[in-house]
Amino acid sequence: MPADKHSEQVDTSRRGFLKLSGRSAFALAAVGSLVSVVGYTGVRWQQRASASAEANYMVLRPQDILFFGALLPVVLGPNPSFQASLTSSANPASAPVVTNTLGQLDTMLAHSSPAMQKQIRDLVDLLTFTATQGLVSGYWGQWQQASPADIEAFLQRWQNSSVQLFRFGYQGICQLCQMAWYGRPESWADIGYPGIPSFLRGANAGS
Amino acid sequence: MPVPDIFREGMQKGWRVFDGNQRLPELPAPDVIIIGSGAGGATAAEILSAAGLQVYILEEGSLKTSSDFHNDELKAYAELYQEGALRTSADGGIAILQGRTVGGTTTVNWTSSFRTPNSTLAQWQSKWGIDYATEAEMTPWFERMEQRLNVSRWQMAPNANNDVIRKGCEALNWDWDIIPRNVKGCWNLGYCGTGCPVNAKQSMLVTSLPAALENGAVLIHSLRAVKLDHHQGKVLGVQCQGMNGTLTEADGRRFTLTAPNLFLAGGAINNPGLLLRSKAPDPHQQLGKRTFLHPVCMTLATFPRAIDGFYGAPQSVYSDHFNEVAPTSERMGFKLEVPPMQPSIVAALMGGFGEQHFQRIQDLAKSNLMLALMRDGFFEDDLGGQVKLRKNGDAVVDYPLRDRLWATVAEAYVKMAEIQFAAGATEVTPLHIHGTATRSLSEFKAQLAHLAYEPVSVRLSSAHVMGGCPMGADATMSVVNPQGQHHQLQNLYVMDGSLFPTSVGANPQLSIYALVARLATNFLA
Repeated sequence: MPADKHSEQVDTSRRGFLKLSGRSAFALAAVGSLVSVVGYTGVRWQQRASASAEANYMVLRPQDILFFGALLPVVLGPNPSFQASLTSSANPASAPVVTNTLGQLDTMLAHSSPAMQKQIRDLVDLLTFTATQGLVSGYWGQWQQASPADIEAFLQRWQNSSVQLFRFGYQGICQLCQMAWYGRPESWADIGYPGIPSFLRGANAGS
Repeated sequence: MPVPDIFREGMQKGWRVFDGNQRLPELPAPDVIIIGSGAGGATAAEILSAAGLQVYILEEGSLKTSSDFHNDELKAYAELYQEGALRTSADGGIAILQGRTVGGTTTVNWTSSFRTPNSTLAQWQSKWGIDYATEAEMTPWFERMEQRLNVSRWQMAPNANNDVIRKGCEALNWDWDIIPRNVKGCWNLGYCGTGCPVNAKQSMLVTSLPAALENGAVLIHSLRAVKLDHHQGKVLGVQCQGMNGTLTEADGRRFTLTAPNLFLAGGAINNPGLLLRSKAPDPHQQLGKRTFLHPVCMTLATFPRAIDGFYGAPQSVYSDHFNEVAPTSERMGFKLEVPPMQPSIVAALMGGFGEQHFQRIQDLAKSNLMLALMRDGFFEDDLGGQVKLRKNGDAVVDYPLRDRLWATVAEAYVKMAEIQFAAGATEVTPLHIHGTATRSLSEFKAQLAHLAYEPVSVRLSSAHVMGGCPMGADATMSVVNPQGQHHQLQNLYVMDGSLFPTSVGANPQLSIYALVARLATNFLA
């Protein structure tokens, strides 16, 4: 893990911070803390990053959709229903399982809080802005063109990071994708969940 | 509808229930405004309104009732939980499940109803000067609320997920017992966490709130208490604003309500948040401190048989074998229970991604999650968290994770794995960012030696938020007095779990009901 080796050498005290900030705030992003990185860089990116939600979405912006859309198949892994829908779609990025799960994710975030929404936007910005993406993720290309191996390597890098920000990011990305997909009825057949008791799908449902 | 929606029926009969964004009709002026409609607020509302006081209940969450509850996890998390069930402590170290709806957490909790442990009461009495914190003084209040909410030991057989605790503890000769639940005519469905669709759970939504509304109380939901106006030791009124449709922000109609007395019952994060926003007097810097979470760590077990933990009463068996510790202990006490096993929440808890995650979730129907609920706040070095304000005024709890907690996690992991293996598990995995399945207790222990005990890596959750406005006889170390009255603002009372000066050491709802029943009754005296 290059980022981690890096962090061991870096003095994270105030003096270390000042020394580093001469180099660049984005280098700091590779080793720094949640607040300083996301707080500082967030300001810098406002001019560059698209700030408003994609049409038909409440929270997710175009770059969020590209990012989560690219990561979903890797996070969810060999889930038969998900993979079948992907392979039968001409364009996997717009397969119904992807768009439905992103829609679900959007609803979840829309009901969360301004702080959580900002955290997700900052996270995606850190992982999609050209100057920071490679440094923090180890992957330099467009996420929608990343191979599964590239994405796995990124997720493992953050999973194994000594930086709490990255572990939190890893956990957040995985949990949001997993919650959204496994909350949807089309995912249940693969995991032995028979679904909600039938009478609740009948007269009482939708009343 | 197979089951009558008693709340909607009551509204048709003329209960005074309003949306915070609608213009209010001419109403009688309140004697008491209660902020929050959960365990504390609703209990106080029933008692005051029965005595003839005009009560207003304000609730930030929206109104959802049994006909809205379809056991749809994601819909429920989004609509019924604080921050859409995505709430965490400030640094993301602990995920926090807390209700945000009419009825508060009681609408979505898992119905476990324990009396406050005697050892907890003893500490409240000796360290915090709460003279009535004794078994003898509190028993009548527990009995009263148990009767009111139909609390009794669960009579049906526990589901297999809960039965893991019984089987494992019996094999190991450790204590276990059946959980008392607040249900009446329970269908044993297992979906308490998404709102009871059959009104069997005796939550505030079907008990104390209807009683208060029958007594003429006014309930205004989807309304945030933004700020208290206060002057010279008295609260003058509460500035309110209607919530937006997704309950993330107050952006609606603003108005101020006034009453001779105010009760805070918005929970242990939102109460201190409101007082901080209001710049309430806090001469000893106690406000928001001593916020406790009962942080929970978990182990995942796979069995060679069906567990189907998504069905059946979510919590029916517990073990207190490790819940009492000596004052010299290096760890906290912990209570052992299980959570319900619905797919979305379990998928998010079990950890990993890709192949590893799919292997785990594929075994959902054969899986058992066990949790250790850590009893925080009982030691000098265990101060819990502190509620602070975000830039936009929202409250957040900063909860540093200290050595004592990690020592407790390490021990709880082993004890839970022991129970799971003793109950016949073939594999047990600690819910840690690097946790992997092990096939024996020795392999499990060997793995623990290599795991880092650090934030986020150890997966921690909480479903019990307590403290933040601790009560105590000594004004230099508490926010309110033992009667719930604010030390500096004489017509302001705290009436919910934020009163607790430590955690409870058990699922807190019955502790809140009983304490508030006592305090609200004394308020009338």
